[in-house]
Amino acid sequence: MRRSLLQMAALVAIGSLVGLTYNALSPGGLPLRGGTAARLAQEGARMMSLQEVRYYLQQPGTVIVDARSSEEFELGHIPHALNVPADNFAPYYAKVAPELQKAKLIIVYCSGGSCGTSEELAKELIAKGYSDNRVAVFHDGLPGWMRANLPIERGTYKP
Amino acid sequence: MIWAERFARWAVAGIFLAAAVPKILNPSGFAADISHYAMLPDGLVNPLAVILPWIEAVMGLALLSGFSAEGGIVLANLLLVTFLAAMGQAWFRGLDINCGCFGHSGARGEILLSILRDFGFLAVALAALGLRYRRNKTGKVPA
Repeated sequence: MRRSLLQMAALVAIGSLVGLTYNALSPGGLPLRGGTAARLAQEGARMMSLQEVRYYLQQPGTVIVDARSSEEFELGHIPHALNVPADNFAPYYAKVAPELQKAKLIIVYCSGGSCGTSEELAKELIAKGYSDNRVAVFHDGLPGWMRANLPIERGTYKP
Repeated sequence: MIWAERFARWAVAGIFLAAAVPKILNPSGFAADISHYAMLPDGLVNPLAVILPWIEAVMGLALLSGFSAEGGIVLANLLLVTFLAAMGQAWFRGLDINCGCFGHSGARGEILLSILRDFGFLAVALAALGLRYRRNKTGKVPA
């Protein structure tokens, strides 16, 4: 039993050491500090808090995009949000592209920290050329918005 | 019996090596998958995404080669139980996430299938562990 534990500790130590060394030496290594914000920054997006989202929504040139499905969007979304489901990007993007191209800042959101669709959408937009920190992820998403008792809209998006 | 233990051990090695490679190649995607479980403090997510795939890879190589295989099979069982607990809490909380087990796919709604699959992997890993200790007891492997 003692031998098994010692071997196990050695495997964990070797794996950790190799992982940290490989990450430090690779050009696209993951930032070890800074969590999600640092990871998003490396991908060309920034992470926004609720306060920042509320501030930027009052500035001209800001567009907010809901990355969830159209069914979820219909049930409730942040007022004036566009809908571009990350799972069905191309047709929905085509509908809203003119508005996005004019935007100075595009804020994307989904169902909060446990949903990945806002990050997927942010990556799609960055791949389309929306770079230079024009894309921001509202990580707390709709649950964060609703926790602050902010209004939501219902219904479909009509471009 | 020796070959049964070897096959079980090699099967577990194959599973962990297949799981490690895509995560090593895309640490950012794996970090995103870990963060969607909403279990860990944000500051621990990136370091874990960097080291966990390499622990899996080193352990897989140990199981394949037989060097430190005993510790490797104990570790494999512990990791599988941990993964099952993580996925179980996600399923219980109704999180619509990708398990991230074999790399970042973006697909969602498959957590229950991943749990069932991991129970299968755990059965193989437990068999390898049991057979290993049986070999040790009967003295066919130097203690």
